[in-house]
Amino acid sequence: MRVTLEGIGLSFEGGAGERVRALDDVSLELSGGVCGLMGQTGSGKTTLLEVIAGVTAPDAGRVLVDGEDASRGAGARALAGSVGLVFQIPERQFFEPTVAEEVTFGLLARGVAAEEARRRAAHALGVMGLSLDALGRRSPFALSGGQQRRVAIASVLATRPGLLLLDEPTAGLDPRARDACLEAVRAAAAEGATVVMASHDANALAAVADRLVCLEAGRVTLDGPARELLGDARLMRDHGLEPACAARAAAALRRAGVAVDGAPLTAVELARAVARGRGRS
Amino acid sequence: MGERIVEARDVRHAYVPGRPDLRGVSLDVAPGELVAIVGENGSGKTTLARHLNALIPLQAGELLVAGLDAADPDVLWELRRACGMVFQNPENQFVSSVVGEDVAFGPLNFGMSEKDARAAASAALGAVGLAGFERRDVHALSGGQQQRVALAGVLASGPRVIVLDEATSMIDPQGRDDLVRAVLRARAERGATVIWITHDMELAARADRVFVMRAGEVAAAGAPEDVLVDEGLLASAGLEPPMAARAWHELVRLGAASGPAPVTVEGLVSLLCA
Amino acid sequence: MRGVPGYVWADSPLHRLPAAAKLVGLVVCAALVVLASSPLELLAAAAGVAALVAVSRVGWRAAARAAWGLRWFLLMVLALNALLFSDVDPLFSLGPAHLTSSGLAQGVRIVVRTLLVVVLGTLLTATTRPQELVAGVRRLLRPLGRLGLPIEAAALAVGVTVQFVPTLLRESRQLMRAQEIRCGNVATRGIMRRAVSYIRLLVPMFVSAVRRADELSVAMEARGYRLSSPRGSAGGGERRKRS
Repeated sequence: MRVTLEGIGLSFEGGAGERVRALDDVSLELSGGVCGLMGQTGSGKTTLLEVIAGVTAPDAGRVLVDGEDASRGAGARALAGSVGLVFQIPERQFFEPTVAEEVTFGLLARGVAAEEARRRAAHALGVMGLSLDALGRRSPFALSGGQQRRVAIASVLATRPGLLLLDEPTAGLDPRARDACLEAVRAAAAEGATVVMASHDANALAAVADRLVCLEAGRVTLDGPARELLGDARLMRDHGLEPACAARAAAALRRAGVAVDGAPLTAVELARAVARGRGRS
Repeated sequence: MGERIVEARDVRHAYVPGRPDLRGVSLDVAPGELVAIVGENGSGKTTLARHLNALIPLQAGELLVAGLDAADPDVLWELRRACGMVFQNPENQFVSSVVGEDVAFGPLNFGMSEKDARAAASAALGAVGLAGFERRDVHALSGGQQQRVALAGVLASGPRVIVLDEATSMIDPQGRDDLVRAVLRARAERGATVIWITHDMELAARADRVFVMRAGEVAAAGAPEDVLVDEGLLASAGLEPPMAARAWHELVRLGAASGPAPVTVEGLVSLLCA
Repeated sequence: MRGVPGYVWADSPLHRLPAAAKLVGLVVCAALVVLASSPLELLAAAAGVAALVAVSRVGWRAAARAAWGLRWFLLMVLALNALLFSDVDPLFSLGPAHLTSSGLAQGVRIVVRTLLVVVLGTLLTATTRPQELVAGVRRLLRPLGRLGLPIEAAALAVGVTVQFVPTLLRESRQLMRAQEIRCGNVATRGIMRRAVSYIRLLVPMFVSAVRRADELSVAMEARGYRLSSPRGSAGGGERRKRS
């Protein structure tokens, strides 16, 4: 699914009566892959996701879905039918008495037959490393925090969104749940979804993102290959963002005179880059 | 170890009988120590933290905090004053939307006069880098600032132990760094003991000692350099070593390094420079 | 914080009025609005409320925001009244539903009253800071304190509740968006669909409110709060010298 943002602007009333610019002339073209969205708190990440999802209307600019204006008519229907938005702490939005009903809710609401809905729910839970047979009859409220997050994401994945938007999907998760969550993001992209993931976690983005967009005060200040941007510790810092831990270490090693080859993003890559650097010197 | 500010002996607890969430936890913390308790969700970290503040009645075992018996209802408030807690969700720990009023809440409860409480609140706000924030609206602050307000609310009562229960997991990196700095400063200036409950291994690597919780038990305890490098142990607890240790292990596998692994980036740099 | 009908920064006679006076005023005005029943009385009440909005300088949009949020609920109330109020002399009938002019009038009356009361409530919160509101409640309750009732606890409860309101409103708005998206349907505009989705919001809202209350009560306990001995005089017994 191809989504084009053209000159999106949005402002709202701040606490003391003044207008706050949440988004300022944002233009992006999203088509396949995982796009990471970084920016400090208040930079407009969540608002941008809501605009892309079509639940918040911008003051200026427009959103196109596969070339059609998404604010009305066929474009709006196309967007509404295939967008999935995972809000921050999505498990706070559970309302069904069982996990099975929670995950099939969106499907049944779209008119998918019960049998098919159950099959898709089982698949989506499987992608998140959970089993419908084991958890289906349990209350979603009685699960552990990590399981809840995965059920919440599965309930969005089950509708097979062509456009999957995630807001801080790994926040508050322990390492095991975090890895499962990132695995699901990868799986969704592999199945052809266009994914946008807003996150503060450079390490998580390093693991899944192909492209990285940074927002500062509602403006796009960086847009490029995730690997290149996340691996540049100084660039990230200059934009008020935290670099991936391995990139930070690589920068510190170079400052100390240790040769590091390339721009490593993970611990393993860092080790190989150091080993290569040693072989060279 | 000589003097101890926290002494837990075989603490057991079950919210639901037959399904224990603490299966006999023993630990000692020395005054002024910075201790990290790590573990995955459901390992019993939070239950343990709430015991330290006597928020959960002790079911079995012994627990002394600042020399006060957690099982003795007569010293309950003294214990809570001696041991302050910062919680995970900044939004759910404020009693007033005005920063100064919220920070003074603890001191007032512990019997300070209005005037003293206000002075203590201002001093505590200064200590966390939020001097002059007394009249601000709590809800207009960033998550990181809110957590520092919560920390100030704890510091204002003059605690000897500060427990932070996943206090950084819902705030951005900037907010986390500011909070860490404020906590370290409180520790340096007031000699407070810090117990950091987290699954952020980079944070745990900076502690004096680490306790690894697994299924309601302390699976390992010791210096970060000893505990946080054990991949097998940590994996069994649903965790992984900090980045520096993982990189070192890979270097060892590649034959490019040998010897014990570092746990911090600084440690990695100094080992590779040597 | 967008769109939260909270305090509006402005300087007006209403902003300067003591909170206790505004609380009493709200009760009196709301009573007058509820008592108004003839079209003329309702019109007069509406004019009165409009005058208050003008005086308050919070702006028409801010004053109407909460009422606008209730539009679907109010439409439903109007429809139910118009169709089910009576079956005498129907303008139009369908099964058990009869559209009557008396029902329509009753519906309009209820909707106008609700709207006006909601606007009055919005005005109170728009011109009064939460802490002033708490102080106002405390002042109004003070006479009861002499009877030995725990007014400090009551004032604290009001304060805590008031400061949770913006958070809960923001949360409810997000929940609605989340459900809209999950249903994959832009046509959630029908009144019945709206009504059903409102009901569905109640579960997570309730769970969230309970969890927040629970977390807050733990946090308050951890900071030495106790109901049994009121603040100020607290801690005398426990306050011993420590090393």
